Amino acid sequence: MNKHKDINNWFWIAYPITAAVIILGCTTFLIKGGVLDLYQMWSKKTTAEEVMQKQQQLQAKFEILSSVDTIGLEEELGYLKEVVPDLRSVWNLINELQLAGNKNDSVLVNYQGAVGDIREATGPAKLAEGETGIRLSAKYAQADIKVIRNILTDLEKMIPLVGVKKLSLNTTGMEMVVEGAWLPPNESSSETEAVLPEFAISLENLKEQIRDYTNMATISGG
Amino acid sequence: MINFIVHDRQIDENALRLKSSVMMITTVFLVIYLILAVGLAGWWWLWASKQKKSTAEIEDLKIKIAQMADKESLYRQVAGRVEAATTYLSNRDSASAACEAVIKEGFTIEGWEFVSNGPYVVKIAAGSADEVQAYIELLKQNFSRVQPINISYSPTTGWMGEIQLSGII
Repeated sequence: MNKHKDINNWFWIAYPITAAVIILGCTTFLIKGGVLDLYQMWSKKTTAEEVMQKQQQLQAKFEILSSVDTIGLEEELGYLKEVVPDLRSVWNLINELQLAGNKNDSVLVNYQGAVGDIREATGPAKLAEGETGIRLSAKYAQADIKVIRNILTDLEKMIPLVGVKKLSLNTTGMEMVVEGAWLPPNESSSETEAVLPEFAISLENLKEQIRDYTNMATISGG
Repeated sequence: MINFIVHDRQIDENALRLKSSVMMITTVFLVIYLILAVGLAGWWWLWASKQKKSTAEIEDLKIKIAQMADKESLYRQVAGRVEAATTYLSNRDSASAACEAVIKEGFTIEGWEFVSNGPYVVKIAAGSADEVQAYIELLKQNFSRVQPINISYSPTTGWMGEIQLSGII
């Protein structure tokens, strides 16, 4: 009877033992990767934040595309193709050289050059290594450096954009190599998850920079 | 006679003290553990449900964006061409500016060699070596590097100066 009473007195010890087993068991289960290991649980926030960030990016992209004025963008693209043509058309460059000469009473004696393929390029709208714009070598019967300066100023303020790569002036005249800007048309590649580039400010700055440029398309009525 | 009753009572009191201490410590541990476990599970559930919601919205947005593929293509074409024009202009070495910088009142330029991104060479005819030197000094206002290549004199051409320039200011 007394022994039985003693055992009853020690029943309470089952409580701390059970609690310890539960705590240690559950902790071990988590650490060793039961349903989800502790690290996965801990990194849930980071994973979720990455997904939420991606959602925000896509939401922003969706809003931009929703607000896009297709007609306005097509007009911008048309204008930008005048600034940087998508075809390696040599005629614009020749017209620019002639116009710059005519404006300064200088005769364009001759022009020549390898213009490469006149083609509609495929692939991404980026020039590959070594691929350049349209290059021409032109010769003017003009030796006055002040007139040359005016020709260069006019030439560098023309659309399509043109740049002087080399120039040689001597007492008989001036010869130079010019390069017209060119960018092949972009293949319509759209990646749903890719972020859209921001260009509004750059476009405004570009328009401001070339505001007073002479546009050959306007002159030739094209 | 020895009093065993007092001794037994002391043992009971000690056992009772031990019991209540162990019970109290166990309860404290259990409560802390439960709070932590529930907190962690709740925290996990919160972020899991946020992730689930975002994933569903992403799938929805992908479909909507794919439907606007033509618009996106047009947008990218414009962006690409703006970048191309901007890059072209910023990389273009201005021949007109370089030309303007070598023109100095009172000096006759006989020749000028321009190469995009330099160096340039200018050739002048002058009345004296001092005049060539004066021209060089003037050029230093417009170019960071001015280097005379050749200063010569002949009775037929007079004084000639050939100067290499780079780094237009």
